[in-house]
Amino acid sequence: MKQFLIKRLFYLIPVIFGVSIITFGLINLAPGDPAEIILRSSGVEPTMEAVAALREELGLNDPVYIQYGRWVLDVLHLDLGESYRTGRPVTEEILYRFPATLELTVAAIFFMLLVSMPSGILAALHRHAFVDHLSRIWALVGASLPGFWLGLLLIYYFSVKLGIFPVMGRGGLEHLVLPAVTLGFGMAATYARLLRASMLEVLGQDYIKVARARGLKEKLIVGRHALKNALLPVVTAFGMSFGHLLGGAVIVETIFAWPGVGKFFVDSIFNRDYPVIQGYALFMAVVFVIVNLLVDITYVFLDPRIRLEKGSQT
Amino acid sequence: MSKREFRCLDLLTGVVLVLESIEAGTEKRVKAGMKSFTFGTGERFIISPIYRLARDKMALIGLGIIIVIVAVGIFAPYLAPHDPVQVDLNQKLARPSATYPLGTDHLGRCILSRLIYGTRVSLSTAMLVLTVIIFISVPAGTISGYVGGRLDNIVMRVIDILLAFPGLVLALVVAGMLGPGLLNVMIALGAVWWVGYARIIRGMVLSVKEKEFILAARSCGTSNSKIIFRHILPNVLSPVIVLATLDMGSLILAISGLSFLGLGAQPPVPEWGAMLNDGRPYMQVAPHLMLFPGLAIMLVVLAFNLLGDGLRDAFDPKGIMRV
Amino acid sequence: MVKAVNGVSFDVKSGRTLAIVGESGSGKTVTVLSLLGLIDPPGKIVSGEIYLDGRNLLGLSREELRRLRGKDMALVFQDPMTSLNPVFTIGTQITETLICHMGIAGAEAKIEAIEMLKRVGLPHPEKIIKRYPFQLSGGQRQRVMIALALSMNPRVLIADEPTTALDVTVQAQILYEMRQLIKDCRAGVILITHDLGVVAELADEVAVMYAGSIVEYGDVYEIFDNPLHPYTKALLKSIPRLGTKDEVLRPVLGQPPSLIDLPGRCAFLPRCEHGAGGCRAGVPSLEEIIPGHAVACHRVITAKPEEVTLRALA
Repeated sequence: MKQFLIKRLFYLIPVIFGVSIITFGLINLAPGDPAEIILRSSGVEPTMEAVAALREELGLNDPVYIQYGRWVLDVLHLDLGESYRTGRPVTEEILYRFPATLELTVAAIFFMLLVSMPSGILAALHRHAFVDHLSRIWALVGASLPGFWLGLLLIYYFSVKLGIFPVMGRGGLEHLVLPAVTLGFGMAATYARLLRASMLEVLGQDYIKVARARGLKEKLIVGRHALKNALLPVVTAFGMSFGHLLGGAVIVETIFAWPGVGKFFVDSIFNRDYPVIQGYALFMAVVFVIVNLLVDITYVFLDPRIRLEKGSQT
Repeated sequence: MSKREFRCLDLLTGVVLVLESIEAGTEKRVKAGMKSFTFGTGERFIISPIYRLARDKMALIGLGIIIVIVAVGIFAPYLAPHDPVQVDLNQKLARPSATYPLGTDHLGRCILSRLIYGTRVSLSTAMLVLTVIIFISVPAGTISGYVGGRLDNIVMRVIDILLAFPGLVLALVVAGMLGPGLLNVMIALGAVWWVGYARIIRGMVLSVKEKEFILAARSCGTSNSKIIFRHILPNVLSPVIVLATLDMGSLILAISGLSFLGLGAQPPVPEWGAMLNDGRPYMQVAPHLMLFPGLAIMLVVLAFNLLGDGLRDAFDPKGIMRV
Repeated sequence: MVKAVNGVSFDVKSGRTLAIVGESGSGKTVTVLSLLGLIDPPGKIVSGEIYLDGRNLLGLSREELRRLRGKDMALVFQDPMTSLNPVFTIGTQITETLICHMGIAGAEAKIEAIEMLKRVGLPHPEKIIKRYPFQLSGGQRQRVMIALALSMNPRVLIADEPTTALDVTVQAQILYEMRQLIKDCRAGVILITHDLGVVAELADEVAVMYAGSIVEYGDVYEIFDNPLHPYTKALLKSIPRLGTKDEVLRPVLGQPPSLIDLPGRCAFLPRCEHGAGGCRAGVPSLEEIIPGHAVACHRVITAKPEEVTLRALA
């Protein structure tokens, strides 16, 4: 276990290095000279002299590797620069809004589990029955339904027409329902199908037949013996899906005016607030890497074969 | 049966079993439309992928929808009742009527015409991005897998690093840096999306490389480039096509999503995601503005998903039993 | 519909061992699974009767049958690698069975589990119960399975190819131990195998199955010394014997028939060396030719009993 963790962390070093290079390089994608952009955004006429002075001040005339080194040092001090728009440190802006995004994502995952677990298991137990067909149709629709359209439809019916939920903004539980459902809907459909396939595979295994022959209760066999094995591939897939969730959160936050990192990021794009865009990319990569690490640890806890096999396998 | 089965019915300890018959379960393979048996028959089913696909009703429905939509895109000028970009403020937010079958938007433009022209935008953008993806990933994956060694290591590291970002997020960031515009969205998606393909292709090349016919070709002194083009690529391409079809749906979703955020198609280009965004403020007074573009996106994505699922099932014969 | 089993009847007295022999696909496993009530749906028993200690099992509810499984009827499966759930410890899997059938508490079950593992000759049972299946060797795993099966002193033990997946040296050891344990608990044993060496070692009676039917049934000495059915003869001939001049392998030629639509004649006819016109006259039924020895073969049945004996002796 310890060895596995050390290996896993060690493996992260080149990845984090690469991530930092990509994030640093992002600024070069922006059209125009950074100094000019800064001057424009602060309302100063970018004359040749002003631009040259600012370039010197920002160290933009130094060799790239020195700029990179300076940037990394700043990042290590949690300094991601200041937002052109608000003038406040990017780190502060992001951390201030992150709880809202976290709340939304966790709620979406909760909704996804709440729906996909029972329907996946039921579909596997009653293959080709009504439940199974229903879950297949739902999976097809779920994978094809644009999340932003679903969000708009939900707002239209539940907020505008029926007035059950508030239209937008963050607040109590009633504010959370529609955004979480929007974000989790497609994923719930996919995971129900994934769990069904995995359950069917496991239910066909010898040890399930033997467990039945041992006279164990069906509830115990399905809920414990089969489920724990069936969850392994689902957990693996979850790491990747979390990335989709973070991307989806950007759109959902925009639709529901949810005051999270994603909404802030989209607003920054239209204000050409490059430090925020850059900071957002780095922050999301860090979150994604941490979540995937947690997923791997969960997997290890579920599967003793990896936990106890010394050194081998990852 | 025989007399001897009764010999032991008086037996009170132990087992007596008299079975006249047990029916084996016949399990219907819904997708392939074939029957296979849970146990013990020496039957073998060898069915060509095309035949399997042709029997898959859902995939055929998907294919049918795609053909219709492509035709609609091609013949847009003949099918559209109005000019998709012509503004007529006297007609704004009109309900569906005989002249405007799906109503008009906030600038009085015909929604049906915009949807019809929108097929061109969505399909061609997705196709272009997919072409770019394939042109990057096939060489990268093939060379990395075939040559191996240092080069492979470098490509794999780049892939690992790009995969450390959540895909859609990185695309959003790149598009955000480049600034709004359909071309920028295409660049952003291409830059991010090729990674998964390259990894899969590399894996396939690695496994094909070990096959006997490659060894045979090599032992005859066939050049590397000939091996790649004659033997490896043909084996890799058909799974890539399946993968690409499956991905068309998600690509269209991603493009329209970015356009919905305002990053993609700029006004007055009729793009479905952008149309949804335009209609958003008028939700209360004219809900049809956001209803039809959403339906159009869903229909196209659904069609590609149906066809993609069918292709995957047809080309992945795992489901067929060999006893 | 596929008839997986077509006319099979046998009885096993407690303390006796019946071996069911036949090629894979001949319906051996389905037959014993029907005994446990574990045929995978939509497969089902069309007609028949199964008695355990005078009680008709087919008349029992699913719940009643479940209570009997593992307690009165136990199963040892072919491959000990796949018979145990990979993500639970040996101890968990034994104790849950004990708790399920005996209604004892966890601590008590643990003591009992250790006791059982001792009985099957596993060293350090208190360590073994903390291990996962993948940490044990094949022989150890199969001993665990045997311990599990015999823990409740079952009335019937079903052993489905219990030694096929093991190393030859371990096979002999396990067979020897099984024989001792079976003797101790006086269970009736149904042994499925295609290894005639194992049959000679363990069985009191033998049933030879072909294409879902029993084609020959009798005392183990009778079957080995006086095989009547051409299939049994071919099977016996197919065993390579050391020290004989006949060093050519004699496989049973041909393929077993498909069970989809069995013809209305002897199923073995296409592979039979002695097949004659009379063999097409319907499916032969199992008839007792000599007391304690039944066979389903038109040629043997139509011949006079004396002739059969004489020919067999010759």
